[in-house]
Amino acid sequence: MSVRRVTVPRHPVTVNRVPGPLDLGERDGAADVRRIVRRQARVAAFTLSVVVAVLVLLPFVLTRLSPTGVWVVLSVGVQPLWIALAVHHLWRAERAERDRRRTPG
Amino acid sequence: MSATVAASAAGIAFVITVSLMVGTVRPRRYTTVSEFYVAARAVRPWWNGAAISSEHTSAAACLGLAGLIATHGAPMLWYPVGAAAGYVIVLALVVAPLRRSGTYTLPDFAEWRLASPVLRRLATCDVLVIGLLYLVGQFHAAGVALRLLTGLPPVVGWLAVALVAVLVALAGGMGSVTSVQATQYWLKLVVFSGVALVLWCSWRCGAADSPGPLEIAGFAEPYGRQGEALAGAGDPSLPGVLTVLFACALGTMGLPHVIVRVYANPDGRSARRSIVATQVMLGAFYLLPPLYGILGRVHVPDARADEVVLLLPGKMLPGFVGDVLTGLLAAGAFAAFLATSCGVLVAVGGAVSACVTRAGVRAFRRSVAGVVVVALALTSLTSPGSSVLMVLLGFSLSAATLCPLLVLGIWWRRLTGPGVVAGFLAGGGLTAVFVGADLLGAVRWQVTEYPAVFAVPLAFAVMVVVSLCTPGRIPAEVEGLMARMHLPEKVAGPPADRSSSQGDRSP
Repeated sequence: MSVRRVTVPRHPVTVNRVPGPLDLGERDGAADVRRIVRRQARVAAFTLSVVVAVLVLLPFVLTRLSPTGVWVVLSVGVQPLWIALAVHHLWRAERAERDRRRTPG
Repeated sequence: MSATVAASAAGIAFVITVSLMVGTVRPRRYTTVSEFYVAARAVRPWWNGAAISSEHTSAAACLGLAGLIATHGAPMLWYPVGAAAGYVIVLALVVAPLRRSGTYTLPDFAEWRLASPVLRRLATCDVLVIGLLYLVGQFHAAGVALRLLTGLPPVVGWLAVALVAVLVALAGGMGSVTSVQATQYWLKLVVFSGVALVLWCSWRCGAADSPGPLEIAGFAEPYGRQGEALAGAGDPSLPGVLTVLFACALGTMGLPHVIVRVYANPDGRSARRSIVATQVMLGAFYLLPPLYGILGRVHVPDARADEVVLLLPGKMLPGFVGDVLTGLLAAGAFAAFLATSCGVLVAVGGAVSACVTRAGVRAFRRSVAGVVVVALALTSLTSPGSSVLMVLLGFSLSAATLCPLLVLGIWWRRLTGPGVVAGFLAGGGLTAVFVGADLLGAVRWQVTEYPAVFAVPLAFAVMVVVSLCTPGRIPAEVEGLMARMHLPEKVAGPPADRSSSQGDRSP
């Protein structure tokens, strides 16, 4: 049995697309957006504060370690921390967006 | 021809062949404008994460960093810590809103957010300078590596990388470059981790020896400057390390070739996941520079920063095994030069073409060709310092200009065009003055060695103050713009398109 070849035209994607501002409509859209931005800013602020805390406090922690300990911590200790923080931020940011979708208006 | 030269040439030829095949073998796939500029916004997170990681692991990360760790010791271990922290900050502050803006280059975002064509041109100039710094660093590193391994003149290395990068970029823009970069990330990870494992085990088992002077093609005569520091990079003192940490953590978000990859994802959610994938892949890769640094500190303490990694196999395991490992490292190093060069060419070519004329395939290709010619000219006019210094200077400039634009543009609705222009001039200008003074030796103040620490806060402060002084220039539709950036696509709905350009029709 011969297989018929079907050509599926690809939908054109515009690169010149510059989406305009979102139409916030008649309802209290601006206040709603401000609330969402604040919520996402809180999530971002937590992640940033952890990054800053690690970068500020780690040098003091390292002064208490032996030279070998410093090499080990900086070589293999910090990268897993950044990965864990990134995954945690992803989870919180997506949860904040899911909660927003459940909230009417 | 010695066995080392033959193995190195074979490794380099293998990478060039694979890159050309992956990037150009199916050029008919890449025909539309969106494929050239943003890979049709259809790249999946893990594939995009591999491409971003590949762009990030340039000559500086693969060769220069290990060399700095070998020559300066533990303080240099902070560099990968700062660079990886930069991606956490990008994830927290920039990624999803930037993708949801629907723009396709950083200058495009600047004009969209602040309705200022002047700002777009200024941002394009900034992107061009940062991109050229990166390209010159990669070309010089390729020249150093090729001369070291084969004895050929450095210009052959520049031309080889430039030619392959430009062919891949011309074939399909970001569409073709994405495939090449993602493939090269895995190649680099396998090569550098495999060789490190063999060298480390041979050292710990006592199989490695130190048979006296190295017999590698270009090692006899020194080439380029040695032991210098630039914009804090390469300076093991506390202020130097803090400057680089600061520049890396904030500069990552403004690197044009890195951030432009965010636009290749279908939506904000997958853009976030791309950065998390990048974090995992970079975390794996950054285990390697300390290993090479320790080996280099023990076995080749007198080598230049960019040469340490490539010299290790010949020094530790002379003979057939050492030659094979050197060939593999040559392949990995050229994969690093090519991946970053391709990415920078596409990012800068896209930004410049869309600024000078209307975005289109022909304009894109002309810009890419122009950028590579300028980069080659600059490479021929400058002497090869360490690649990591050029890259970290790019980080400093990015942190002092594009970082404040992105952070304030995404999170602060009162930002204005004049504020950003003033901040650009203050942050970028101060960085240029400090670096110029440091390079020329005209002024020997302590502060000129650490530009990022002063230029970044100044840029933020100037942007905020001037924006507060020009409230009439806040875009009228700012609430809608903020909504477009911060609402998930499913809530915001599809963006309202302008009509697509002629070159953007499906064939």
